[in-house]
Amino acid sequence: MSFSQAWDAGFRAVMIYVGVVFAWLGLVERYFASQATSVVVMNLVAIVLGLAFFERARRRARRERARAEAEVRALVGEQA
Amino acid sequence: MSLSASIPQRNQIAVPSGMSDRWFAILLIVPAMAVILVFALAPLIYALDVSFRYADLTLGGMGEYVGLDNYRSVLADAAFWASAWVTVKFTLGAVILEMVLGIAIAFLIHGATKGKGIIRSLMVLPLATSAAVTGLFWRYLYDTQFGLINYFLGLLHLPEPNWLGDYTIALWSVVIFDVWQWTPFVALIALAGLQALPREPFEAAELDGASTFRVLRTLTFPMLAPVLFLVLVLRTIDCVRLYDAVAVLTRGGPGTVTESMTFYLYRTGLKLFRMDYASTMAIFFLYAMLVASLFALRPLLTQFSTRASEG
Amino acid sequence: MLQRESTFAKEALRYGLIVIVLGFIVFPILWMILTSFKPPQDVMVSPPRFLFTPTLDNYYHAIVDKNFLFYIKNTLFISVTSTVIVVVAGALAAYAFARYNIGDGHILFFILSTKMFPAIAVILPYFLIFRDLGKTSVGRFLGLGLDQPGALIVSYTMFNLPFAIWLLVSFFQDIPRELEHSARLDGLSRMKVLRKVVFPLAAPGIAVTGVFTLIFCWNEFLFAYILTRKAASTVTVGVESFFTLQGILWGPVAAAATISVLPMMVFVLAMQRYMVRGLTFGAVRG
Repeated sequence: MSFSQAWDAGFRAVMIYVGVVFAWLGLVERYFASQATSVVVMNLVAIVLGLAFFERARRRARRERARAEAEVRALVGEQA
Repeated sequence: MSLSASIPQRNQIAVPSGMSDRWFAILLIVPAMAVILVFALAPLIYALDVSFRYADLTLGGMGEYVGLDNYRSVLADAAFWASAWVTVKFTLGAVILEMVLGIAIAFLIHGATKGKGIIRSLMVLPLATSAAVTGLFWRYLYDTQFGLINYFLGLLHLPEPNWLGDYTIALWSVVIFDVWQWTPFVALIALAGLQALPREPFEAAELDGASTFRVLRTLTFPMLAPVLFLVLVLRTIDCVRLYDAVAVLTRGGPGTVTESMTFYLYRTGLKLFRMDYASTMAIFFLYAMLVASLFALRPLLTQFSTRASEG
Repeated sequence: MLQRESTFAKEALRYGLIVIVLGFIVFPILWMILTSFKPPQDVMVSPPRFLFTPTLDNYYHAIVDKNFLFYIKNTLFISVTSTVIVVVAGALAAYAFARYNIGDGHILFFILSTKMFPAIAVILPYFLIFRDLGKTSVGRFLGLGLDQPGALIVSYTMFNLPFAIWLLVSFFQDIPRELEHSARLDGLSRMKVLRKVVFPLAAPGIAVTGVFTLIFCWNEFLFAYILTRKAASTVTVGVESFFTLQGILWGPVAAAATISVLPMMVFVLAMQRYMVRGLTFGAVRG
């Protein structure tokens, strides 16, 4: 994964994290008895979702690069 | 998802030079970035910091950290959501009207054979005026006693509403003002877009005997789409940040019917001096804008990036 | 577009509609200018009067009593300085983005997204920054304290750079690369290429960017209101001051408003052709 792609995916992952936090605070927290547990669970959920997104982006970038490299190899093979 | 392919960049021409290309480019952006980094990042970090504290300025100074409490209060605040809804209503109303009217006017002018220069000159005028200054004068126009608008409506035996004092139409009065100021902008851009369209497809379509409607649907609008999208983005950004017109025409009133998000931010921050609350709202705003940028700016940016990487 | 056969009636209808549209657009401004010449008894009157004996009293009041020309001088200085800085710094940066793609679009994204932030949200940090700068002797010397022109100049530069860079990047990308390449092959240094080849070719685009920046600086209200008190106030603040002190005397307000709006209107009329070209910045060609 190139730096540019990593930065892009990382930025979006952070946005997802923050989004989950906001949504949680507004919608989910009222169902929790203790605020402390709510905050802990919220962080877990948010981090997991963020990392999941990042992983997915990384895998997709890898597949793309593998495909591009395979194409290049095929072309070189043809010319040889 | 990256903006340029992960292929190594071709070097620029092999001319012996003292400094590499990369350093030259960095040097070029230093002046601009210096200003931007200091005056964009610093306030942002400050706002972020304050949003986590308790800060009622009437009690003097900043308080201690209270974690996410400010965020909780803002999300639970009915007035906040009301102002968000006002902003949404305004933006939808203003942008839709401006786009529709602007495009219609552009078509109207495009078909005119003479006087385009004068027409364009006149249409540029509202842009040159300040919303704060002409907005102030629009209060006079909207006035129920001395205002010109109601006078004309009365002549035509139409109802004469209380533009700025009526709960139901006050927001529309602000919309009308914004539409007045910015529809010419939309029209001018659409007009320029129309005038830059190549002739051949249209001539071919005429030879084929296509109906006007068909031509519009399959040729004109698809080709105008990038320009129109650009205007849409620009106007939407500006309308969401609505402040000047509200501050000058209605001050958020009557009640809070015209209180846009930025005006509510102003009220809590600079009138009630609850900077913690205001900063939190600013962070929400920033978040919404960043998410929106991801969707709206990316397509425009990839265009820049690819053009920059070629050659 | 196609030149279809149009009847006289169709043309008449078209121009009729155009006149109506233009009327709506121009009328509020005309009314404002008209009102500025009215004596007070013709202003606060219902129904509104179109015929009256014009008077220069309102202007006298604005210029002499309120020293409005002082505001104009301030605004001119602040706007022009800010515009020059924006154009120079912006052009340099825009070229780096346009040709070298520095930061691979990410830096540009960051810069452009700052444009989306509402001014009201950053007003307090700015106030504090300039207040603190004004307390230092260096800051005061450079004019960066509160109620000093430097504060507004820097703020306006910050607000205009993103849009200026956006405009300029697409203008630079419209210039064919071969011209720059051949200049380099001729042995010119990169800075010379910029100065002698790129900037002259991009001059219309740079002019348009300057026009938009100037208009923004001239018409800005919020920052001028908050960051200045007396010495560095601009015309927009000057007009608002009419409003609060004497209730709503529309005659003098109209005069003040006309004075503050007229320079930009004249400027815009002169630059109209360039503005339209700039408004479409490259998207049309795409």
